Amino acid sequence: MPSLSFTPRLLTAALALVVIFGATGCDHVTDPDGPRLIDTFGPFAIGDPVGADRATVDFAAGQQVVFSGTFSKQVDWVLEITGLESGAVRRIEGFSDELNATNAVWQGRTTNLPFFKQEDVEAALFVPSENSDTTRVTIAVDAPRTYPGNVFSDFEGGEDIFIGNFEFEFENAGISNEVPAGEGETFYLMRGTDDVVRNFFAGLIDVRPDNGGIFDVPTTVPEDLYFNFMIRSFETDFTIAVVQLVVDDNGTGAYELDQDAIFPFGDIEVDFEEGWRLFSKPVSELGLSEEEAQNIVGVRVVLISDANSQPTPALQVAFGIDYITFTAGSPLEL
Amino acid sequence: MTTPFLREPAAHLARGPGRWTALIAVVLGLVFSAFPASAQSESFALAAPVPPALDDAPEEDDLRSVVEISDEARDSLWTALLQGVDEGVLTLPDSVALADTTDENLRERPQPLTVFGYYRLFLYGREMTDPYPNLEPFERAYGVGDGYREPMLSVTVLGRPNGRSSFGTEVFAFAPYDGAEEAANDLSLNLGINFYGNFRTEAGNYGVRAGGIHWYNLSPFTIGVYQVLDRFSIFERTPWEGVNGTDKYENYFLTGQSNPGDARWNFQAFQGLILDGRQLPGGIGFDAFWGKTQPNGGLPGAVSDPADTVPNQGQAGDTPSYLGFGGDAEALPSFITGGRLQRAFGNNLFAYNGIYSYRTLDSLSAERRQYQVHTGTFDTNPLPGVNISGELGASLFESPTYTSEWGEALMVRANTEDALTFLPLDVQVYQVGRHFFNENGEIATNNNPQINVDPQCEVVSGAGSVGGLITQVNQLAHNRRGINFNTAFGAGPARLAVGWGMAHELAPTTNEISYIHRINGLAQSRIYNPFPGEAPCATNFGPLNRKFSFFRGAFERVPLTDVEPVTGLPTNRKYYHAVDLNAKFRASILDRPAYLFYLGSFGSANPTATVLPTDDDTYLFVQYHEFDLYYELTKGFLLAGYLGLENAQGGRFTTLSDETGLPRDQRATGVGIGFDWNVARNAGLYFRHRWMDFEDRAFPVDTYNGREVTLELKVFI
Amino acid sequence: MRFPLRHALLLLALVLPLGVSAQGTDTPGGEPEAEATGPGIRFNGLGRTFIQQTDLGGTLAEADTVTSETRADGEFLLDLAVNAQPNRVTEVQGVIRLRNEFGGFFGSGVTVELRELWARGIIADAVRYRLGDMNLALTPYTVFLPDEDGTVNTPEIFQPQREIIDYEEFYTGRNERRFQGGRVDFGLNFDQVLSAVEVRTFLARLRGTDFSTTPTRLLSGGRVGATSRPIGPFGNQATLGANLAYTWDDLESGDANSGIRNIVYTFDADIRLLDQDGLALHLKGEAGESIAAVRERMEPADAEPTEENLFSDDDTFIEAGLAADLKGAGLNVSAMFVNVGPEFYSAAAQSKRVDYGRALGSFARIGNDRAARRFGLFDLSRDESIYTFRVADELMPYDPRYSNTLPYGRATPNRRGVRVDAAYAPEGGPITAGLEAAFLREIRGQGTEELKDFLLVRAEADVPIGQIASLDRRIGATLGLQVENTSRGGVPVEAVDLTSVLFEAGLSAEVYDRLDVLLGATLRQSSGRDYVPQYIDFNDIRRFPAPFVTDDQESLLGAGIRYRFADQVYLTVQYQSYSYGDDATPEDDYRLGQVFALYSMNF
Repeated sequence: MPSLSFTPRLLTAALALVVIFGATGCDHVTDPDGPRLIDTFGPFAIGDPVGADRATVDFAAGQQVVFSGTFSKQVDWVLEITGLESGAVRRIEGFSDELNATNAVWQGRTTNLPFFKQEDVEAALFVPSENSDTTRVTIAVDAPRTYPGNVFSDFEGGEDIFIGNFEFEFENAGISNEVPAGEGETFYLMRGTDDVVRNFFAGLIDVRPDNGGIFDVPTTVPEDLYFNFMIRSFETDFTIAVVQLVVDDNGTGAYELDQDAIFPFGDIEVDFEEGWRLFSKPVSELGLSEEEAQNIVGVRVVLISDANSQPTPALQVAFGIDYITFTAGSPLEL
Repeated sequence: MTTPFLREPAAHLARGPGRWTALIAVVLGLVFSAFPASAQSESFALAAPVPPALDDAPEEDDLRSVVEISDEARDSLWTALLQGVDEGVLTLPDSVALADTTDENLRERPQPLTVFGYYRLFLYGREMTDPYPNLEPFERAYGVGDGYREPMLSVTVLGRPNGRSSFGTEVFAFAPYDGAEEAANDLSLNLGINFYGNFRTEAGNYGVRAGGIHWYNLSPFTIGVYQVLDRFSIFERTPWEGVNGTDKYENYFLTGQSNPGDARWNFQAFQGLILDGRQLPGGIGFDAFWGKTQPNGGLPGAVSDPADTVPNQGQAGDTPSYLGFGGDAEALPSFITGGRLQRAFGNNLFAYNGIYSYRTLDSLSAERRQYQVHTGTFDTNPLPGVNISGELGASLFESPTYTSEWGEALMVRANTEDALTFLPLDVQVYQVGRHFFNENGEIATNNNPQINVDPQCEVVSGAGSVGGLITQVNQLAHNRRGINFNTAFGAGPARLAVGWGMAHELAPTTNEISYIHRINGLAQSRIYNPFPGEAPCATNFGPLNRKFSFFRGAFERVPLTDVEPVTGLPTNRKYYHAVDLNAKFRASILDRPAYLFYLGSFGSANPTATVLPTDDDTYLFVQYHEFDLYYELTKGFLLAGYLGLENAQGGRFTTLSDETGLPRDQRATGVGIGFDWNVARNAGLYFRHRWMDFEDRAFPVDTYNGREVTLELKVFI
Repeated sequence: MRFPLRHALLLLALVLPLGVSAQGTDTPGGEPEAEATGPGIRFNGLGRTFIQQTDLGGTLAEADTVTSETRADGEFLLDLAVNAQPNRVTEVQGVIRLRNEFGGFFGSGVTVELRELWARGIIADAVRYRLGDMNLALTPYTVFLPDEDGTVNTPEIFQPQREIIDYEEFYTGRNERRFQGGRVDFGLNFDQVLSAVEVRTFLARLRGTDFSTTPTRLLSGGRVGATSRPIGPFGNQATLGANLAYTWDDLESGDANSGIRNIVYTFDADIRLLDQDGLALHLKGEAGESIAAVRERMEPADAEPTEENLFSDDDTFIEAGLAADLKGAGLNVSAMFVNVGPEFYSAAAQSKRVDYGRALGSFARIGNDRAARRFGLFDLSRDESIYTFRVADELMPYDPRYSNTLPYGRATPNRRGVRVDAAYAPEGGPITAGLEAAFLREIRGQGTEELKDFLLVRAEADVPIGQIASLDRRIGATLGLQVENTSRGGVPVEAVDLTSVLFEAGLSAEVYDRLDVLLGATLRQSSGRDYVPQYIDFNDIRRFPAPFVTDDQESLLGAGIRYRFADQVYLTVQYQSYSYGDDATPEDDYRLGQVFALYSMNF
């Protein structure tokens, strides 16, 4: 009779159902959900203080520094590396209970200009959220990092610079180490007062490549060729920096004053916080064609005093410029 | 909309974990594997269910489908589904809760309702040819409604769920027909929502009234309203009047009441809970209540500045806006509670009445402004044809700034039938102390400046007087001792009633008196609207700011000059005199009924007692004469005529005019014509035209004249 | 006001002709009697008068100089249901709400609005449909309204206020949610193998678009169920069902470019293994999966719009076990194995009744520092403003003192273990009782590898004393008990140990014909420590606020009288006293006293 065979069949079906449901319903994610409680509410303590895997480093040779250190729980830590001469700062942050090769490696880069140079640096490790003690370690940089790109001028001396002080308004301008340079030891200090002929213009310099001819750029594609330079603010009011590319326009292969084409980067109001800043643009944004990108013969830097806003007598204006370089594919990466 | 619903799960299954496609296959397979192989080869037959006519369906579920009686039908899931749906009975796994609406239980027992109401189109227009200053540009105004909150469509819904309980409400609809379509319309409730309950036991019959507004009357001195008949002209219709042709005038001729059964008359508006018991052991009955009368009402956060609520406040009576009166639901406590205990001895009734009203003033210290009134009332018939009634009580007022002494309120009234005394006599003697205070009773208690009802107002909204009121006969005020006498006689088509009253102040408490502008007062209040209700202060109007409007009326305030020069306090007690006359004539002209009604009223306040009101050596003398004429020209069409004369004569102790050096010398005239037309059963059209004129010969600036037209169509449905 | 006004007038128009048609027009003055229930039109509804005063007291109030200590409020309300049946298969109902605030005279504080409007009927004698307002529940894992917090077996004295909450929030007692949309049901009968197949589909709009950043939110789904015919000597029968609940944002409505999608599909089974000799044995279960995703819609200028998941979670659940029905003994017992994945998310099943994120309706802030007052039994028992029937788009906040084991009902995610239920209701026997026990453990740790263990015991009993003592009076007692313990090991920071005990006792004694004296008490005591996470992305933990540490107790005591005019018409006057105390902060202990009168009329 069908009914006799029915019950076992139904039981089989039921058991099969349970097995299938069970088999399909028990596979779940099991890793802890949310932030670790011990990290949020556990006590904080510094285990091992910050350490470095080397005492000296040669970034130019591709070396790097791996820092170490441990905490009692995962925290937001900050490792701040400061150049004792340049004042350059590299800031590395992370959330973990340990500093290691995965989260605390320094390859010589800087977070805030200037670049590091051959100097001693101090690495300080601290945890802001815990108001923790700061542990420190000192490392000697034998050679700073070499950044990619073709350097047009780093104002370390020997550059072919024409000084246009036509109205004799420059004041102690020139290559200087009055403050730490953006890169290396010296930079060019543009400083003057527009009070001889009050016409905005305080002075200029024309910088030519070392060979005096056409500068060899890393790429000739205007969209990929980035024009980079550092500007230092002295927080002088009414200061405007004008930086222009000079392109050989008459086919001489050299820079002739007032005969070649000028492509301005754009006015830069140098009223930002005192210190160095990097400015970058592809030359295509300056209006250079591919042919023009192959014929860069100079860089002009002009010190402008905003006469419309200046009081009488006019106040001194100043800025510094350093490390004019061309990179391919992307702006200069600090 | 269903596209994603259909697409997504399928799509998910297709790309989902393989375990699920396997599961589906197995589950579906199990259904069939669970049955004999022979069954699978047989075709399924669809048993189409046949829902019944809803009329035949059981009451508790009119949408249930019942399949024809058969084996299949008994198991019909269609039946089960609908049944389960409507009753929550599950034929499915316990884990499945089939659903339906919450209203099933509401629909189990249909509730018979009584629904009736009326449509009232009230067209109003005015043209003040010589208006008061500042009325511009509202000298000429017309529209739907006269500024008072009255329904254009009133739908009364009454229900009685069972023999013990019932409810009722009045839906209020108003459309100004101003071309703004729905935006300006108002759908609301006229009075509120009332709930009733009653139950009979061996220990008495009990009743409950909850919600509100309930029209409630405990006793004249506790919760009641000054009520007199034969004292008011009925030329102007009240919004709550019926459509009753000549009955209105016949009733007035016979009883003095124009609208019999009007619950609003002589009752106070009350919200809350009322419990009453009657026929308790020993013939005892009681009332107990807890809630609010209007003085306890109001919603916090509601707009309370009349200037913010009544357009052109103090200048013109545009239809007021009721926006902003919502307020917050939660409020500081403000309640009135009390009750009544009564016992009947034959046809003699004795009762104790008490109320306690308090309003919390300070949310932190919980300071209260409170007063209590306790009275005893009696209504006895010691001899055939003799009725003696009265109310004896006292009140105590307390506030953070002033606590009064106990104030007495004593009144005894005797009535004899004409069979006993030739003419029916009605004698009332009373004494009401100046400390007696009650906002809910029939006694006017605004004669004691120390009891300040609302510090922010000189005159509170709705107040019908200030200081010493020139009262009518039988109209009581505190700080007075007095006597009232009434008699009447009728001979065929004529009836005459005479009332005489005299009272004197128990102490000089106030330096101002007031009197009512009976002639054209309603028309003035339509221009200078005294409401809406959340406005705490009365509307003040007129070039000298001495007139105030109240509900369907206006009164004038008269400062007195016989005061103590330094303190400004009154120095003399005043005597109040009143004589009210009422003559009614009924005739038949050309076989059609005609009615002529005359109302005469004289009142004065004097420094000394006189037999009759007089303008000699007086503070104020007022007299009113009103003639109403009604004649049914054709069946259902009545002509109406009206003439009203008012004269107020100030005395030497009232303020004098800078212009003339004379005290008040006012003349007011109202002349009206109109018709009542019963256009159909329960439908009437009512027209009134009034010319109004007012001048004060001593204060020439206080002058106005103009006219008012109203047309009312009222249809009961 | 426009929308309700329009509908209210429409419904009034339904009413008026009845008043006219039925009234006796002979009465001059026009106050005729009218009979409104003509053919096809029926009226029902609910009326309520509610007046209450609440006072704040206690240690905190004594030092409090800024909080109002006394508040009073009330309302008079009439919901008039106009039910029209133009023909035998069509029905339309609208409920007009007339409401007047206590204290608002002559139009102030009055609202007239439309509370409900729906139509339903039968098409072709086979398909049942419903449009407009509707209540709906499928299964506890798809569309379901979890039980309320803070009560097991509510004492009768507290029922009136709970009834107000249930009515205002459309809680039906059948775990249904309130929706606005449409539904279609139909069934097929078979005379072989299968007894019947029932089909239900629905579509509801949960939220409209603002045509800016908020898209329209919809919920659709349905159920297909098949029931076999009883076969064999043991009455074997199988019922299998497939259920779907699909919540999604229509990103094509408005300018919104992101929204959610939540698909939950389940299969349920009820296999009757045995049904004879007063014993029925069932194998029951439900299993399914949820997918929850945040979707982004991109509308590139030069290409067809596309949608993609910004975030997606999926997880599964299973609930399976045996249920036995000892018919003779009136005992139902079931034991279920439960395994609900931590990522399982079902918006329409996990949304709570109480929104602990809302401000309290009364005394929301107290004390000189205006601190927000914690939710308490006082609020759970009377404050309708903290309740909702809405479908949330992530796990709602919960209070572990009231519910920690299953705060989101049976669909609470991240639970594995056994749940045992027993119901005792002998036929004709006076006492009814119920017991629910759950022994559950987390599947996935919250902020730690350690897992929480949950123990929940809920017991209730109704004791009709009058019946037992053969008294001709309605006298009954109710008892309810909930004991909950949550524990977790690990280092001290991770350790959890929270115990809560909720006890309810109520007495209703008819001392005179229809006049009842009501007494009731609800007590709760909690102590220990736990962590209550804040969620993001449906059910992921965003953070843990400070540890939830409590050692508090609260009591809600009530005494009052009630007169029953009819079964559903009564007047009750009550006084309730609530006190809250926390051993850690005795200076913040406070009391709330409440006196109220309620006249409720369900007709």
